[in-house]
Amino acid sequence: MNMKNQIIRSVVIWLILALVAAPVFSQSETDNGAINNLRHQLGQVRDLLDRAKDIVRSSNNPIAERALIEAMKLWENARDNFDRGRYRIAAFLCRQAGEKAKAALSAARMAEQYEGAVVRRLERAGELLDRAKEAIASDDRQNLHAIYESARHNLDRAWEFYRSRIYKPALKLANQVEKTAEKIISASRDRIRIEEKFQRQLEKVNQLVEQARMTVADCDREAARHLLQQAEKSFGIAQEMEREHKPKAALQALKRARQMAIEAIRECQGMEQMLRRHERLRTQADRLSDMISPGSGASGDAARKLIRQAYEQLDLAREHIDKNQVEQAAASLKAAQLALSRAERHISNHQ
Amino acid sequence: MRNCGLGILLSFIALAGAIGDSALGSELDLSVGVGYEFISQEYFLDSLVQSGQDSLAATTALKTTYLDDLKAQLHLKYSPFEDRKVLLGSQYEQTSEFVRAKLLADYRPRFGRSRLDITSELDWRGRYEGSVEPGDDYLLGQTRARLTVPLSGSVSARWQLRADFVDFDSSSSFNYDHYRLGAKAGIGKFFADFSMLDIDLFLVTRRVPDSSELNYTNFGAEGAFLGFYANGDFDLFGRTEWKDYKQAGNKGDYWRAELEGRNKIRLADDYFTLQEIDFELSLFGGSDLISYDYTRLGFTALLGVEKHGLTFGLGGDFEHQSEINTEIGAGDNYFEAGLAAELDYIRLDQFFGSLESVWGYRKLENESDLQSSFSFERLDLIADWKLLGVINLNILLSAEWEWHTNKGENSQVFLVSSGLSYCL
Repeated sequence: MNMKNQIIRSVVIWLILALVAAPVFSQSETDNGAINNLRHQLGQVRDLLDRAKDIVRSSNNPIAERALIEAMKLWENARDNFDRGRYRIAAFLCRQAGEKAKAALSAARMAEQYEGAVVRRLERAGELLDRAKEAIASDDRQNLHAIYESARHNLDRAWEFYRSRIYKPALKLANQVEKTAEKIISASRDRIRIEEKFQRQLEKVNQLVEQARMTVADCDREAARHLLQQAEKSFGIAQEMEREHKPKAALQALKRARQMAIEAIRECQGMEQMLRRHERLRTQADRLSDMISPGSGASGDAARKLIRQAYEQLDLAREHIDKNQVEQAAASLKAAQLALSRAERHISNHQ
Repeated sequence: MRNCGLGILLSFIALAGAIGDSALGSELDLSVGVGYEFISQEYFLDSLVQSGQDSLAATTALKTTYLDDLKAQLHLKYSPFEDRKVLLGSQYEQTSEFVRAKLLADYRPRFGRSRLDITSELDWRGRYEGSVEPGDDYLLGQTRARLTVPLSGSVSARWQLRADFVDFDSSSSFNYDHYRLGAKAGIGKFFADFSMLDIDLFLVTRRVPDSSELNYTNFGAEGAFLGFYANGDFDLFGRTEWKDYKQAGNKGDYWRAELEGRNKIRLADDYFTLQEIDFELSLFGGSDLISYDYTRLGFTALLGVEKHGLTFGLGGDFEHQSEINTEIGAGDNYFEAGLAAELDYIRLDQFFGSLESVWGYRKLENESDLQSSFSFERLDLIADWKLLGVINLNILLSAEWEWHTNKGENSQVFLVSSGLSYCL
């Protein structure tokens, strides 16, 4: 019995041992794979830390430097635990070291505080400043030149900070230089815009003076001739001031030229004369309208269209006359007259 | 090197002496003044992170003042001829530790309808107080010559050559002697409505005698258009460039494209709207841990009023950055939105002032324990004021505050650069 019991006990023990040993042996195989994998991960994180060292050092960013130190400590702990066979703890620390290294790199890049990016920004600021200098080369405004000089000085400072590996102020100065250069370029272009506006006004006043010349030639009044001379003189001064880059004086002279030309026209063409001219043109338009016979073809259609335009201009002229707007009324009457002349030519050709 | 500086100083004195009895038609501008420069950064470190959980202190503010200098300055400009085609200048500046001297020369002759524009600058800085460190003493020179030749009434061609160099008394990895040579060629066209178009091609090469790693060749094209229409105007500027460091694995190389646009529409009663767009795309050739391809897009829209030289605009300011293929995972992707206010005042030759403020929030896509989203205020002031016709006051000021979700990352930066001068 005892013998039998002993045999049974031995079988049971062996069975238990077999049951226990099987997973133990299989786990050992799995652990070997995991351990190798962990060793590989430790190597990878080590590589990452080595590569990060130079970048973080050159970033001169204390937050990134601190994170990298922590990452290195975590890695050392991971390695230590790995050597002692505490693989789970080692794996956990290795993962944390990797995350911390990435965070350190990210912090180094976050403010773009790394050498290459700083150089790019400084060179870009220099290019913008060169463009600003070109923009103000023919600009007399001393303010813009003084601001340019300050910005140039700050760019020199930014390079000095860069050379001392102090990146944050170097970048801020570069930003400031860029903003200043953009302002200078913008102010310079505002001047071009003002000049463009002035040229348009110059053209308008030139047309008005020309109109005054024609009107005065017909009316033969001494006062009107005197006003026209004043207008022409002021117009000449405006052009001269503009050439000498004196926009304020040029604009004043131009305004005076416009005023004199209007007064010259008024002297010859009071509102009563305007009204008489308006009536005369309307009669002409009615007459031409009656002259177009049905079936007059393309010429007739063109003439009708022109007469319609003339009526529209005459209505507009009437509105300006009622509002005492001499310049606009004269322009509308002139446009009506032009349309009627062209309509008359179409009608003549057809007949 | 110190001899160079001495040479410049002597040239300065000689120039001043030579023009003592200026010829008829010549013009001399001499100004003396003082200036003040201040640059400071303050940021916060969480001492729990720095010193461990046992630390009693919570947050520590670290303040670094990089520059706090009062300076004396003397500027001289001399035009020997009435048409100012020749301009000679020199500047002398002294702080409590450094002396800086600068010589300037501009020559702008005309040959018929063609124009030549040559500008040159020689800048020396030396430390006379305290221990000299690498980068303290240097000589810097640059010159640029540009020829513009009209091809027709509205089209002109231009060529430009440019050279610059830096020579340090003692060099280090960040203070390296180098020289650059560059060329540019392009055409410009004026349109009848005063619009203008410029297109240029450029090539720049940098050589660093002590390190071939820092040599590069940079080439590309740029174009600008300034256009007018009935109720407004717009500017467009585009640039594309390649930079080649000629290193193994294309390290440091990149291709970059940028486009800036600005459109101003004039509404009734002195009101206007302004839209600005700023786009940048950078693609890096080599692979390293910090240079990743990215796009950045900024947009500003303002509604404003301008009257008697005063312009005020208020609106929104937006920016989005997206990085591509970041190996380290946490890309610098963000979106920021802010309220922008601009105030400009220009009074012809008396005052130029510009104040800009953007108050907003930057949302980071990938936050970590070292970087969190933040609110910010950015302030920029540019001003130049001529008082009584002889006193000139100018100031450039920038300030930036960042308030992070994680208070330990809060920071602020101040930059002030100012000058007060008297024109003799």
